Amino acid sequence: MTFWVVQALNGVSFGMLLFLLAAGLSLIFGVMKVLNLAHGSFYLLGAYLGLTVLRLTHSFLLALAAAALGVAALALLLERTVLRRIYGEELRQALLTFGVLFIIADQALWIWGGNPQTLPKPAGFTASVRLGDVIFPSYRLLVIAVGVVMGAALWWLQERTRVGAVIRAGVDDEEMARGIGVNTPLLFTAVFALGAFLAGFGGVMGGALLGVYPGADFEVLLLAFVVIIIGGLGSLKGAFVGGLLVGLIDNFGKAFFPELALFTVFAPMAAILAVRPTGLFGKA
Amino acid sequence: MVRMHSEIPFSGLRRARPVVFCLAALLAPALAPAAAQAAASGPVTIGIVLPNTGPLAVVGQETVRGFDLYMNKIGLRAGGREILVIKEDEEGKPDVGLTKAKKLVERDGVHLVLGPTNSATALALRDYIDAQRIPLVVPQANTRILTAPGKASRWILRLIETSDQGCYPMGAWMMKNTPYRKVFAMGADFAIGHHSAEAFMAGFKAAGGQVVKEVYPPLNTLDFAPYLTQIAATPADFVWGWIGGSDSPRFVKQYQEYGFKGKVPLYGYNTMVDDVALPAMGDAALGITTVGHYTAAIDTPANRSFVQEFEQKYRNWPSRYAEAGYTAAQLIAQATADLQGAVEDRAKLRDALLAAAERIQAPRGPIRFDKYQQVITDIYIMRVERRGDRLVNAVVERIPAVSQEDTWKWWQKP
Repeated sequence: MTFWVVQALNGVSFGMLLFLLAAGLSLIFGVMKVLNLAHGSFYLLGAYLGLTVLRLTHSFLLALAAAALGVAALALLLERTVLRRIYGEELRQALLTFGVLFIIADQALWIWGGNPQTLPKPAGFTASVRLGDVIFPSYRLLVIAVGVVMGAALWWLQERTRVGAVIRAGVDDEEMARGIGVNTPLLFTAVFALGAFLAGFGGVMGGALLGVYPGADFEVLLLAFVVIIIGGLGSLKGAFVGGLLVGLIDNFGKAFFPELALFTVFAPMAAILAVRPTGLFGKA
Repeated sequence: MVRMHSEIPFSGLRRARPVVFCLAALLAPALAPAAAQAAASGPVTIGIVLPNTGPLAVVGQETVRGFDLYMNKIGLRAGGREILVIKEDEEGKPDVGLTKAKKLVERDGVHLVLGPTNSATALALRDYIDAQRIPLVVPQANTRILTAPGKASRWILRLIETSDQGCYPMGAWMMKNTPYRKVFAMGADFAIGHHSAEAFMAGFKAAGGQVVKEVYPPLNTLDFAPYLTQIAATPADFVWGWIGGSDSPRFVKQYQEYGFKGKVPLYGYNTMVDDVALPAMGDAALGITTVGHYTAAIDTPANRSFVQEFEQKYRNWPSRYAEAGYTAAQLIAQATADLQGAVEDRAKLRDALLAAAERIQAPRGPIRFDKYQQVITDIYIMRVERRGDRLVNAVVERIPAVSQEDTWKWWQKP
């Protein structure tokens, strides 16, 4: 019984982290049709910035804010100066963001060094809680809570606000949206910055859980892609469900079939690609 | 009006320029042998092929720090000659390592090569080094295959214990010094993780212990929970693991978070809590007992002075990787001094390196090489303790002069 509870909670917490990462990526692709390979760098930078701020101020909230906003600012700069020159040229955009991924990875190695580090958890969430027979880290419960709250906030943004309606319009048909007077360049910048914000935020949350080290950007990027392929590109609901699914399958898969550990993350992705290529909730 | 040839100034020279240039380019290599002969009184050139980027970057950088510390201490001179160090990045990849090694040997004309860190790179270099007949001093790559009969090369010297050399004796040590008899063994899912866990289990079983379960999480596992939760379902009374790199901080923290610390004691190989990763782990690492060839807490005059010099320069305690770099530098400098700088004869240089082992005072203690050029070294059992505001791997026991031949009876049929 303990085993099932722990694994399920674990899967859900990991899934929430994946959701935070995938949501930004999915949004960026859905609206801008840009394959933002630099998303991994946003996570990495978010984690490292959070680490530095935490060391200086010992405040997790401040670190979250600083990291998310800092990364969003960088993304804004990137989009304004470089990315917007090559709209419509998907291959060039992908290559450019890939280049950015490498540049940021190297800079991070230079600034923060090569040692693997972990962000200290926020005060109050460093201990494990007892739920009957089960001992579970309280921080992971926090990640679940934050993921759910973030998901709800994003859903509310998308479904109940004008900004959200504009974003949805952009996802559905960018040309039509432009035709009815939506300021698409501004929309793109805003979405790119929002996606980066989510990635930076995820970086701090994930950094306390999984650590931050050179190479984390590539690993996280890979996982985020798996989630959006399963959940569907451009869909927030897809990112949420996809994240949960991947988190749970990965956990239970590793527990029952440890020899297939590397396979458990990619098996559902392969299955979805074969059966329903647009993902569970994707829009073409 | 056509200008006469003779009216154009320097026309003769200008037209001849391309020809002169080509002749110069062709002749230059011919002059080079003369330059190489002059180099016999030039610097002793050491080629370093260690990772400076990639997942093993921190290991490579630590090794270079230890190496530079000693080289700068002796003023980059030995045997009456200057020492020139050329550093190349193997990136933790075998093909890159091989390319860089070739560049060092063939283009830079190094006298010997130091490196690599990655075991796969070491195996990739083996045939090339053997064919080139140039000494290779290996500071980290600890695959047991590299110095086994049939695979060992006369030109490859290794300064670090194999995966077996440390882990096998720990099995017997556990039976003798702890009340624990049933192990849940773990190892990262690649050659070194497997070999190390196998060696520990073989040593443990040979001394009468029992292996309850073996589990091999992949490298770069983000979440060890699926593996850790299996421990509670077994009758194991301790866990032994080979975990390294960026997995170590995660593994150690998650071990505590899931409630196993304090309930099921954790043992393993020193890469789990090495002096590079330890500072970031905090109290989660306290009490973890591991085995390895070095800890900065070794209490000998030679080591204390090494630690002090290192800390003065780099503001951190040295790790096992820094010690390997430092010892390599000592060895090379001593060999060069013994040869009075005549390092051109590679066979003599190799032999001098082997002999130098018994003349240097390595921070870890006395070392010498066996007949496969593998180091015979003291092995330390160590436990993480807090001393003041610092976490250290405190020495619990020293097992002197462990040789790979003692530890391979269970897999190597001589």
